Amino acid sequence: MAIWQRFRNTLFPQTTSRAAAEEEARFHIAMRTEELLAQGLSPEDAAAQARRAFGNVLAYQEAAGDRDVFVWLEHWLLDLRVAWRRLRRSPLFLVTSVFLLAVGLGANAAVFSIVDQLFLQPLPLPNPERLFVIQETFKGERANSNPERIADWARRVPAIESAMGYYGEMVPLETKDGKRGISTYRVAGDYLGVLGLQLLEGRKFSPDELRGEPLAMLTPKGKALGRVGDSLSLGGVSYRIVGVLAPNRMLGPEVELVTPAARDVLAAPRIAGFLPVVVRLRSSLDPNVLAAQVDAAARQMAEAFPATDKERGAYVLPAQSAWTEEAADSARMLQAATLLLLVITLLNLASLLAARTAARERESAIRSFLGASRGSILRLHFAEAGILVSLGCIAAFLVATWTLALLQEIFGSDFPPVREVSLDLRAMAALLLVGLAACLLLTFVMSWQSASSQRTQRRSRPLLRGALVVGEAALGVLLISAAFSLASAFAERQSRPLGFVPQNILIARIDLPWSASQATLVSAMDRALEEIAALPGVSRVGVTDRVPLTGGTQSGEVLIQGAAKAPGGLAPRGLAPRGEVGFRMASASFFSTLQIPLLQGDTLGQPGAVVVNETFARRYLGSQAIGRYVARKGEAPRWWRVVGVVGSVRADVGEAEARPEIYLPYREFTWPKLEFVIATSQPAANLAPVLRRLSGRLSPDALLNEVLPYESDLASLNRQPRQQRDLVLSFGFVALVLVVAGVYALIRAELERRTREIGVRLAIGAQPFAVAALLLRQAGGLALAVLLLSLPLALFALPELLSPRASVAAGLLVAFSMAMAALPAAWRASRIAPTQALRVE
Amino acid sequence: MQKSPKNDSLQGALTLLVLKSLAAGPLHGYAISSHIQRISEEILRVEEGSLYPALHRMEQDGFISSDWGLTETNRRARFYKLTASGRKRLKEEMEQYQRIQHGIRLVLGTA
Repeated sequence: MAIWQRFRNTLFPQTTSRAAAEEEARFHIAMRTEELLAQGLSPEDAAAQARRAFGNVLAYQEAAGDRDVFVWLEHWLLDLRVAWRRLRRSPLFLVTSVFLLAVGLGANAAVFSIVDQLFLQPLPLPNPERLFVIQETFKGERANSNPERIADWARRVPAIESAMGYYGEMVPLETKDGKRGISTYRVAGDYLGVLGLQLLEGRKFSPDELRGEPLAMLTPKGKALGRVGDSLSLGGVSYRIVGVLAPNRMLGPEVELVTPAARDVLAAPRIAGFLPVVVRLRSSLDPNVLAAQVDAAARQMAEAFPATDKERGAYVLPAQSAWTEEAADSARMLQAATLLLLVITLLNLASLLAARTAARERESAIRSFLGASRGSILRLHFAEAGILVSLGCIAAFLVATWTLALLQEIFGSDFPPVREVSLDLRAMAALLLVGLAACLLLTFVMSWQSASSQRTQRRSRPLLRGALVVGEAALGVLLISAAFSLASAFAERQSRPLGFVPQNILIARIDLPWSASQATLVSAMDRALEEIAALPGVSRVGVTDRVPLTGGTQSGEVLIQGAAKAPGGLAPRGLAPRGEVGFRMASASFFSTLQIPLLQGDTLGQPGAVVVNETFARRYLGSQAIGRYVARKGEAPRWWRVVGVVGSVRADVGEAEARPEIYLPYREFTWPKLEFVIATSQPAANLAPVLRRLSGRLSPDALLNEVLPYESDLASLNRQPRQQRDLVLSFGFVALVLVVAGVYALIRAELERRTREIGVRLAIGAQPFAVAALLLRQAGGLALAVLLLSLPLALFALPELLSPRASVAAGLLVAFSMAMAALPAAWRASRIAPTQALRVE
Repeated sequence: MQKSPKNDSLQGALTLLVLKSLAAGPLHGYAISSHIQRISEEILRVEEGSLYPALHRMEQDGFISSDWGLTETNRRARFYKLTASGRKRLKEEMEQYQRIQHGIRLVLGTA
């Protein structure tokens, strides 16, 4: 019989072979009986002799059936059937185990997919090992570059094959239905060449065209915008489409267009810093060569351009690590949390199985007695673990899909590449591998438990289970401590005073092009402030370049007026280090709209007048702030007179406290990304169409990006840390529930094991509470072991990750929960009737 | 009644006997056993415990094939028949048997 037929017969048992054998045997016996009857035997004797002569019909049937199947496979299937029947008889155990595996494996598969695709696998570009980022520095701090310096790197570093920089911009596209913002990469240098991106059709930009020609390449996302040769009206300028890029994860999910950077951006002064530098190393060159040449070129540039480059430096980073480093910490934390969860779930499962095996010792003993070998009992255990893990893997796949979607939701806005991650084959293989390892571990636990109990010929003390529960609970303490640390950090962050009132405020973000002149910007802002203030339902309106808490403002070094001789009679007394002082463009109405209190002096209004925040005044000006002069450090610093001090607000939601800030008048210090704060009772939806029309009147290339309540903007800023906290808190909660369940089951089993002993104790006069204390003491011992194991680890080995208060709280919570989990069993023990207990067994 | 020889003494020749019995046409198991017994004048008696496993083995080896049919008394029975490879095998077994028989006769001096 063909192998496949035997497989088929094994998997889908055919009765034909055995039935046919039986029929053949019956026919033979009948014929023989007739023959014997004819010889004169009585019917009974004839039938009996014929049957005897034929022998064992059943054995013959079996032998006939065996020929058509793979016996070993049949045994396995039989084991699986028996194991499945056994599992079905304990639905709670089955559901719990599958749930544990699904949570443990699923969460890990999702996190592994992210870590694998973003951090472990090379970038999806040709020869990704040749891609590097040149990280420029200014006075030792990270800084960005500009087109001129990028061209310099390409010229001065022979190891560089090509270099480029790029920035993202929302560009207004004019369509029949009005304006729409198009997410665009503006590139300086050979963007395609450096990344090695392929074109589906058309051509790339020539070096000449890269000097600011209005040309565009469509990304796969932007394909609907037109075809090669078509024109697009972007911010009042007609751009010709020259090519269509092939799909690539590196393009990002939102970007629709790639165009050369505008001419005036390319002509930015050498001191400007707004572009990252990405380079492709010449083939077969060592990255160390690049690093050494970049170092040498930085020194040459510092000598050639002392005014701008003297304090600049640069170092080289592999592109992959440069692009993922901001997310690396979150990824590591998530991976650690999910791994902990996996270990906890596996320990819990092992402990559940150990309990189950202990409870089934009787059955195993009967099987052994009936002749089952150690091997066949092991096979049965293996089948049981195999079924659990298989079901667990299927459920884990669902959990993984769901977890991945959740993680993409949480981290997608801050780290867009995470949105491109999918559950891949490697992640599934990893999941299966862990599942397989789990299967082996569980089988080991079960057979070890069986073997040890058979050896000792009595119900063994569940030491293994105790150790598993302690291990699980100790890991639970670490996980819960991490969750508490995150939660308390988040709560602390939420409790920080805002310094302004975001209620009933709408933010309208209007972008003008980087190339817009100061005069254009000032007139646009004046007109907008006037027209918005006149809208019905609007009580106040102000403008700034970045509203508080939503992220970095501009920053730099500041010169502060002193007493000694100086240009124009003023001299720097102190120099605020770069990065510490923020500059914010504002109108006077900005403060009143957000109700930022004016603490001293006057608000913005007079030419040359600035307002500083309280932190700045306290740190740099002391009690005499009003009337002092400050300047941004530069080649020809302009001195501004401090006319007022306002309350401090934080620039970034993550900052612990407000940094020193200077508010500069919007008419003299402009920025093309405008944020209007509007105090109004109107909902955003009502104002949006009006503001869109208004932005169209301001300038053809002005684009209303969004109108939204300030509070919802703040909520979205807090979303990621909140969801991250919730995720880890839910992991911690699952861990706590598992620990409680583990302790409960352990103490219950202990009660069953010692029922007889407890009966004896009660019979000879022990008090019920003393009996309950027996079990509680045991739970207490376990809790103590958990604290002794976990707290030193949390407090001394992981102090940066886990706050001591959170660790102690987590330890106490787990210990308390363990004691609580033992209460039901202790209560039952104290209520046992001695006569009943002594009848046990 | 002559005592039937033990199974195992027939074991080596069983394949040959079955193949030869089927050479005349399809037979069911019982008929094969009866045929051998009758033709050998009750000297040879095939035990059922050996016959059926042998039949199945030979079927698996492709020497014989089987089909269900009706006997003359209208009973359902499995009929075995020779395949082409079975005929070839019968020929080989016959030659082999005759060689051995010739050899034994030579040794016994009865040739």
